[in-house]
Order: sequence, then C-alpha cells, then structure tokens
Amino acid sequence: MGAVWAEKVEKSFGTGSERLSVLAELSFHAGDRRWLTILGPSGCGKTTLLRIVAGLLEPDAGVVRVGPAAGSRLGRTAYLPQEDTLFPWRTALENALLPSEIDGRPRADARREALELFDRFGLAGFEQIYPRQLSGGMRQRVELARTFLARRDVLLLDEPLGALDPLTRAALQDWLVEVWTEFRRTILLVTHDVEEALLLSDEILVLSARPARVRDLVLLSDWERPRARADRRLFEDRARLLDALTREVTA
Amino acid sequence: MKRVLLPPLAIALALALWEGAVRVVHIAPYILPPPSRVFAAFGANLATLSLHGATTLVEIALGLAAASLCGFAIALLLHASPSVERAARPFLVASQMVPVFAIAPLLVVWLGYGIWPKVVVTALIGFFPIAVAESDGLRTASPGAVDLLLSMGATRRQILTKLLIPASLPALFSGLKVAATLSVVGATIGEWVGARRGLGFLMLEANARLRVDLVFASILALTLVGLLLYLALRIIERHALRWRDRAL
Repeated sequence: MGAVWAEKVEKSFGTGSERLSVLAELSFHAGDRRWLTILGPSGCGKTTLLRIVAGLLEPDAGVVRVGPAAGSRLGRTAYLPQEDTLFPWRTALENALLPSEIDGRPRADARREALELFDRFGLAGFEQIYPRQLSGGMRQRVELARTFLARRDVLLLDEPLGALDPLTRAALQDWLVEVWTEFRRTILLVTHDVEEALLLSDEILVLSARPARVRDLVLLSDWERPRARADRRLFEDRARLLDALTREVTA
Repeated sequence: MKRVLLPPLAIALALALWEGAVRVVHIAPYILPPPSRVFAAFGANLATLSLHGATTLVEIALGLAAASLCGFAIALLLHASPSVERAARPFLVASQMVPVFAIAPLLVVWLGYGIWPKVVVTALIGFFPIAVAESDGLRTASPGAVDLLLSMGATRRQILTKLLIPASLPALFSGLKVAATLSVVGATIGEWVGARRGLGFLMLEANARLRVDLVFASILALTLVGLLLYLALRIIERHALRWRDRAL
C-alpha cells in the first residue's frame, strides 16, 4: 500500500553554464510500513528528493511512484517541510485538523480522532494553545501530530528534529520510535544526524555529495526497537558511516 | 502611571498655551477663537453637531465598507493572474493621480445632493491603501506552508482561504487603518462640494456666517468621528489577530 519506488531519478536546476545537477541516477525502494532514512551531507539534494516524492517537483528523468497507482503524487503523502509550518493563527488542535479540512472529512470525527492522538502524543492540555506560546519541542510534536492525522500511508519528514536542542532532540527521537511502533506508516526521513538515522530506521540510504548518488544502503531491520544509545552496534555503525560521509564532504 | 498621564497632560498644556496666546495677543474670536469658546460652542450646539455628525458617520461607514470590499476584491483579482495585474496596474495608479476634488462636483451632478456622492468619494480615496496592503499581505505566507498544502492535495481555492487570506490579515488591517483616517477627509470633501447635511456642510455654513467657533467645533466633532472609527477598527483587529497579541 504505502511503498515508494524511485527509479533512476535525475534532477538539475538552472540552464546552460549555470546548470546544477542535484540528483544523479538515484534509485531506491521503501517497503510498506518501513522506515527509510535518507542520510547525506548538507546541501546534497535530500530536500529536493523529498519534494519530488511529495509531487511538488517532477524529476527531469526517471520514475517515482507512491503506492500502487501511477499518476500525480500530490495528496498521496503527508509531507512535513523542514521549516516551521504551523499556522500561527490556528491553535494547536486547529493546526492538526488542517489535513481533514483539505480532505473534506466530517469535522466532528476528525476532532475526536485528533483529540485521541493529542493524548497519545503527549499534547493533552495544549489543544487551545497558539503556536507562538509553545516550546520548540512541543511545536514539533504538533507538526508531527498533524502529519499523522493526514491519514496518508507515506510520511515524508524533512529534518523534523533538526532545529531542537540535543536533549529535546533525543527525547523526541525516543518518542517518535514509540509513536511509530504504535501507528505504523511508511516513513521517509531526511536527516544529516547519523545517530538519529541509526536509532530510528529500518534502512539508511547514504547519499554522496551533490549531485547525489546512492553511496550505500545500510540494513538495520534485524535490530529491535527501541534501540539503546549505549548499544555497541550504534558506536560501530556510527563511526563507519561518519567516516564515509566525511570522505564525501572533503572529496 | 506616568505613561498614561503624559498624553492628556500634553494636550492640556497645548490647549492652555492656545488659550493664553489668544487672550494675551487679543486675537478677535472670529479669526481664532480660544479653546474655551470652541468647547462652549460644541456644548451649545451638541444637538446640531450630533445630527450632522450622524450623517457624516453614515457616509464614512458606507464609503469605508465599499472601499474595503473593492480593495479586497481588487487585491484578489491581481493575485489571481499576473496578466490581470499588468493590465490593471496603470488604472489603479491613475485612479490615485486624479484629484478627487476634481471629480467630486461631477459626482454631485450624477448622483445628486444626497449621501451617495460622499460615499463614492470616500470609497475612491479609501480603496487604494486597502488594495495595496492586501496585495502585499497575500504574499506573506511562507513557501513551506504553501508546499505543505499542495502536498496534501489542496486546491487553489483552499490555499487561498486556509493560508493566504489568514496570513494577509495583519497587512489588511494596516491598510484599513490608513483608509479609515483618509475616509474622514473623503466625506468632508464630498460635503463641501454640495450637501444639505453633514459636518463638512455645517463647517462651510458656519464659516460663511463668521462663526469660527462653530467651525472649530465641527472640526472637533469630525476628529471624534475619526477617532471612533479608528478605535472600532482597533477592537476588531485585536479580536481577529488575537493569536498575535496573546502574551507568552
């Protein structure tokens, strides 16, 4: 249902001598209800890739498919952009109800569903609060609640925890694993945090510097979640991945 | 406490200076009446002033409402299509170059001596700042928020009503407040050109009879009408943008 295929995707921006190749022959597959993390150096085209999967951009060449049907991908995924996208004039709950309004679902049902999820997401009591009154971590929770409430099979998360301080970030990583285990969806997560990728994903797609190609695919599905930060495997894999990535940056 | 008291104290001081200057220099009251006489005239003619003030207030309110509707509609149209924007811009700018004084007499010829020419003049003066402010306001939403809605499969109309218009409200209110202050000028001009009622009319009539104290009383009444309007707008704005003012 919620699988994502990308086959030899290419994308460049600009024309002539200004032409900048961003993605080069990029292929990957994210299975249904699996967590695929896209890891790569800053500016390598991870966000472009996510925007292509969301249907906001079309690739110059190659094919991207979300779910079984071909055709436009708009409306098929729940995309969480990197920047803060909570609407400041809506309360936390009203923000979370936005997808149901776009889909035209009955408000009472959507509200009930959202209130239950708020409870599960540790957001109970914050329903009527405006975004500017919320802390960074809480805002991120609301954004993720909104993303889950979109009822899409595929979630596209662009560095959702990137702007948080390390402690809040670690707490939200644990929380995200917990939430995902309960509400299984296919997740494509973009990050440049190696530890985050190792703690959360089934597979890690390691990209090269621009133009992004697939450098490596790390399989982690045999590793039970929740994973401990003190786990030996985390240290070894992190060192190996960081080595590979730093070679990319200096190359 | 000091901050609250300072503005009224400054006004009181200015009035006292005015009063003192008029008395010391012995300016004739039909040239410049002292504030005490203006207030006396205001009190003595309260009924007349309220009657004419009500007419002016209705003109301003209708004119401002028309200006808001037109200004908002124009901003939406400009937003809808770049070619419409290119075609309409010269007309919009030209409409602001035409001195409203010049067309006010024509409006009297076309629409008579009633309130309508004043409503039209007020609307003509007021729509431009509203259209410009709303036009800018519709561009304030972040690209990420637009992406978010597009990825959900939102229609153009949903993007407009859920995101672009709510995001534009702070700018819209700025435009409305400018338009509200201009609207007092618009209605006054409209009444000067030809009217049987209204504070502008009363002012002209009092001026012709050398009742300068009543002219000033009318100006005072006009100022109060303008203030009233501004305060009403502030209250609506406070409510509409309460998400912005709420303390942390």
